[in-house]
Amino acid sequence: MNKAQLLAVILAELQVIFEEGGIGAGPVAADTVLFGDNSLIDSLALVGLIIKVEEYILEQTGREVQLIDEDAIINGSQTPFRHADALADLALLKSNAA
Amino acid sequence: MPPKTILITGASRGLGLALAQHWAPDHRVINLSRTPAPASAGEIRSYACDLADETATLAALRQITQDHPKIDLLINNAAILATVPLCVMKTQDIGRLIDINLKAPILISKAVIRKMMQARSGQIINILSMAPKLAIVGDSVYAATKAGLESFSRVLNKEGHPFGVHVNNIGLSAYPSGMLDHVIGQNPAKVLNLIPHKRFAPLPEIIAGIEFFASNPVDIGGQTLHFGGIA
Repeated sequence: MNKAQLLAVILAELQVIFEEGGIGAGPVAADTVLFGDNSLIDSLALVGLIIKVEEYILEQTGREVQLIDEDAIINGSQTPFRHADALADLALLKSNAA
Repeated sequence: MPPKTILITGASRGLGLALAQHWAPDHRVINLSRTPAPASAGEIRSYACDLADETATLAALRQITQDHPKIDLLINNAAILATVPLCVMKTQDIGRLIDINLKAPILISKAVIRKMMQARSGQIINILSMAPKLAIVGDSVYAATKAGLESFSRVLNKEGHPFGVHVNNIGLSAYPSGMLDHVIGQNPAKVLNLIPHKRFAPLPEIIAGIEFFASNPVDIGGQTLHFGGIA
């Protein structure tokens, strides 16, 4: 499992969220904002996205990871949930560390 | 109710077993409890664990969600009762009540709702009790666990709703088998006198209540359906 695969999962799920929410913001991309100012999805949709990634890692590697932890929350503007690319980085980091 | 995969906790006896037996012919029914459902109950897939044991519970849940990736209906039914005034209740009994009646359904709901959210559908039903409403002497901890579970369900319903997952409750008066066996003994009036309707909750109406929630998956959530005239 590599970053490109994780990013593909994130973008596919993001596309579903956009379609379900009627969000017509053009194609999703690595720099699509997930959290904070300019985010197009709400916090519960972000939670759903995070679950999708955690379950994907479990299916692919058998490793249980928890992407939301204190470090992620207190990072403020540097949150790893700020855009799709950063979330993929975090997921790979957590998966490799598990 | 169209065919579903139904996970019921505590389906080795009492109400849980009765529900499992009812649905087993037409649905895939899974039991999570310390002891398996009796073979005579029909095709019920049992996974054994002590729900007070967090590690064992999580391991069983991993196996269940691996074997059954799509669970349509979760019924958090398993519970224990210890009717003892708090001042003389054993500390370990307090812990066990909280672990089985409140912590276990929370852990189970977490494992299952993750799958339901991904599937964009699912229903969770908690079996509650008349104890919080009637403030029965000796049931302080039991009532607290059930009241806590009701609060939990209302919030979880809001978290699940955007994903098509809803959480509702059956506010059971009393069911005359299983957990209440040792309380009722030879004297059912001891329990019936507490219930405004003076009768045990009939199984067909409990089933109807659950199936009502399960068959209305769009906007009915965070509700408690009380039995026995308790409001």
